[in-house]
Amino acid sequence: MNYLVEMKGICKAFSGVPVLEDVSFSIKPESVHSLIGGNGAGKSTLMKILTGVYKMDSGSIFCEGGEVLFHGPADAHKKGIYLVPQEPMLYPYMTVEENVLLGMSGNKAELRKQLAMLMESLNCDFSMNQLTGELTIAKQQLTELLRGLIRKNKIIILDEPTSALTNKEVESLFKNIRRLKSEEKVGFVYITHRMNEIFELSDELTILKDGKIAASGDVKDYTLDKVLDIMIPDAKEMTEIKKSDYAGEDCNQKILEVRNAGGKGFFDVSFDLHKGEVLGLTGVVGAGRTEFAETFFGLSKMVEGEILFEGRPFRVNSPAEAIQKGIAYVPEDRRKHGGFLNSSINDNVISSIMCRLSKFFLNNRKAKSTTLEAIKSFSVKCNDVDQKFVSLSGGNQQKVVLGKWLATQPKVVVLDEPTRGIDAGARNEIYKIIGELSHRGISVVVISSDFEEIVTLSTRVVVMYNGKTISELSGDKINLENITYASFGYTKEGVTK
Amino acid sequence: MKKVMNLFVKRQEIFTLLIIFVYFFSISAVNQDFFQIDTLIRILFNGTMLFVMTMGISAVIITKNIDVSIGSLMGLAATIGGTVLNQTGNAFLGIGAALLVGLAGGIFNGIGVAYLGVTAIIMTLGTMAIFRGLLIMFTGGKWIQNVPSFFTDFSKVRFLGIQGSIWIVVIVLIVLWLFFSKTTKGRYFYAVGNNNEGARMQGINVKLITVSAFAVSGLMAGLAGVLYVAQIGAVPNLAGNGMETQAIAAAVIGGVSLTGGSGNYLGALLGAILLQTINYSLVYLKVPGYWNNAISGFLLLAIIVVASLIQKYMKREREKNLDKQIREEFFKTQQNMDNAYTEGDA
Repeated sequence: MNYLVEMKGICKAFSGVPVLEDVSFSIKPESVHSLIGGNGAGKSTLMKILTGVYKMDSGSIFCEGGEVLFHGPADAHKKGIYLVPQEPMLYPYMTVEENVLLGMSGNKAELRKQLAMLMESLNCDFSMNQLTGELTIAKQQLTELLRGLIRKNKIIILDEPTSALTNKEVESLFKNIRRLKSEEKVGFVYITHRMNEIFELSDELTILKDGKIAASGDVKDYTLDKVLDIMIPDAKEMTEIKKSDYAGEDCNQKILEVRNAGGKGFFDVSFDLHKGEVLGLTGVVGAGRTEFAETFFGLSKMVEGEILFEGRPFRVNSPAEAIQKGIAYVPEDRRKHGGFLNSSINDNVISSIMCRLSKFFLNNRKAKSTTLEAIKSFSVKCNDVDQKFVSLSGGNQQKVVLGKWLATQPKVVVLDEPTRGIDAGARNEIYKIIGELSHRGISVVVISSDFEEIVTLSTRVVVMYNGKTISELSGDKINLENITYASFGYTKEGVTK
Repeated sequence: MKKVMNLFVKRQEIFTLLIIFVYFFSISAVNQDFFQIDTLIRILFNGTMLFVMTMGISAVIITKNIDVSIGSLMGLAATIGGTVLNQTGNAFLGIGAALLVGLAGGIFNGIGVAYLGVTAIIMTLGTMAIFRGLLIMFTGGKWIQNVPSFFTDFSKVRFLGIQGSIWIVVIVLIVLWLFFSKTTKGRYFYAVGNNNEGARMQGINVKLITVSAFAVSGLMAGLAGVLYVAQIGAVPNLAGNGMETQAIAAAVIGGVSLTGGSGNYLGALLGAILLQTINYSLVYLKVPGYWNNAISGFLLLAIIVVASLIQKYMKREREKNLDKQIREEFFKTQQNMDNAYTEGDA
């Protein structure tokens, strides 16, 4: 068989954590190869290795009959391999025309004519003279596509190209893909979360799961259910922990009611949160979970819908107000948003309650005792309270960040990806802390892309898809199968609305 | 109002030109002596060093970096160029030495920023001190004096009534402007300043572009050193001190945005001309000359604050509009998704 490119035995680890293990992947000319998988399965990493953005740890890539080694995207471009990234990476102060054509050789007028034709065939309703910084995300995504489609490439990789496009635009994109496939013999790699597109467009598919190939072959041999079943994570080493057991008489009290909330990146979110429960909020990356949490915490504006907190309308304009009302939000990226890296553990823990500890001068004794209590109850491994935050391990950092928020004595705690990048031991300790919180009657929302974590922790699960909450699971319904199906917009029985 | 602001943001050089005229006429109203074509030429002649340095540093600012070492580098280039000139009596060797010093200093800055990963402000603060230190070590604290008169005369030779050094500025403007707005390589500088990561993904050699930008800046500092020797005929140890603030201010006034990726060479030059006009007019307003630095610093801050306020306003307006469009697009996709499900069922 003649392949355009063959990747063999690719391995890649980020700071010791394996992301790809012995993955082989090949692309034929005149075909569309769908690459699918859940969160963190390694799709984007594999494609970034193919285009020279990342270096592989081991494995080899063959192209045009010989082995190749790409040191950067420029090397891959020379071989005709082009990646259209998921997030638009445009030059905001330049026009669409310049964004698309920059770096292409050839007659300017001729290129402009080609661009105009391509824009027409993709139904672009914007002009090539507009600055890309002034376009909506959907139009920016189209501009990225124009960049990829107009160049004479042998392989075009499309990373979730349709996530912001309308049906009409998707249709015309597919038409263009088919045209390039048959006329120019281009091979496509198509990454998507939308199952129907796989069956409509592609010839082959490869399913990645936990950095390994779970299945690969002709699309004709697969059905929707078969694909989804393969993608359900293996229930291998699921830690059994005692689920939240809060049983106060007010345990059915709704502490939070979210009704049709909409804002930046989410559009129709509705769910209830009861006192002392652990609610799992999940979905594929980009489903709008973090965006909702940030809006809830006052980091950006809510546009529509309403939130009731303890029965009263809840609307905050800043994190300070949210903290005041008893909300704590532990963000996804501890280092970036959660902790003060070069400060001591003590300073980190008390940073959220400074004003309560002092009138003007800080009450150092009280501060220290708060910190010691946090260290003790979370068993943070450290030498003393003055040790620098940055010198702690990931798990212990997370505990300090948790301690910082719990010092505010919140009623609702939102944890965004609480165990990402944390080793198994520390992970279980954090699960224990979450259990302890709920035991004390604090309501916890756990946002996680790790479905096992969601199943392990939650008493109820809300799944988001494309900015909406589409499914709510409780009791026996909470299992990997149902969550996986729902996060791709389906239920086991058929359609979810 | 919105249209005016739009124009202000998009074509800042037109506004700069307008302000130059308004300023020129208002000073002339205060002091009649100012209102002469000769004054204008004198302003340009005295400003040539600032002009070429402003255009040089624009390359760095466009790629979203900064270079504060150019004042010292200009002094060093003038010193070494002047010494070579005095020793050999050969104008070409002197000019070559000054340009080479500037180019080497710029490339050194660029390598530190692009390949060693030092933040531009730290790197160039360091080299600012190094270049000044080298200058003093080289001269031992003495001025460079007694430059051959054929050299100082050359800068004053008039062609079409305008001095040679002004023509040099014109040539530099045309070359840089053509390169940066009309060639692919030139546009790469803008691409890097617009979106560093995106440019790398597009296969642009970001490091090479960064080094080149600093090299242009250094080379222009070297050229400014040549003009300094030619026009002033002597090089004190503090030559070029504070020029970096003036050059940065001038570029920003002319619409070269400190956020990178926008602005053009004509604008940068006009910004420098405006700043030079203000500096020069202080004499006519009987303001002491040592106010120059304070004034350019103040203007730099004022322009940045005003520009960022306007941009914030524009961004808010645009986002209001965009938000609406995004929501509309979303609901369209949502409907399509629902359709897709039903189709999938059937």
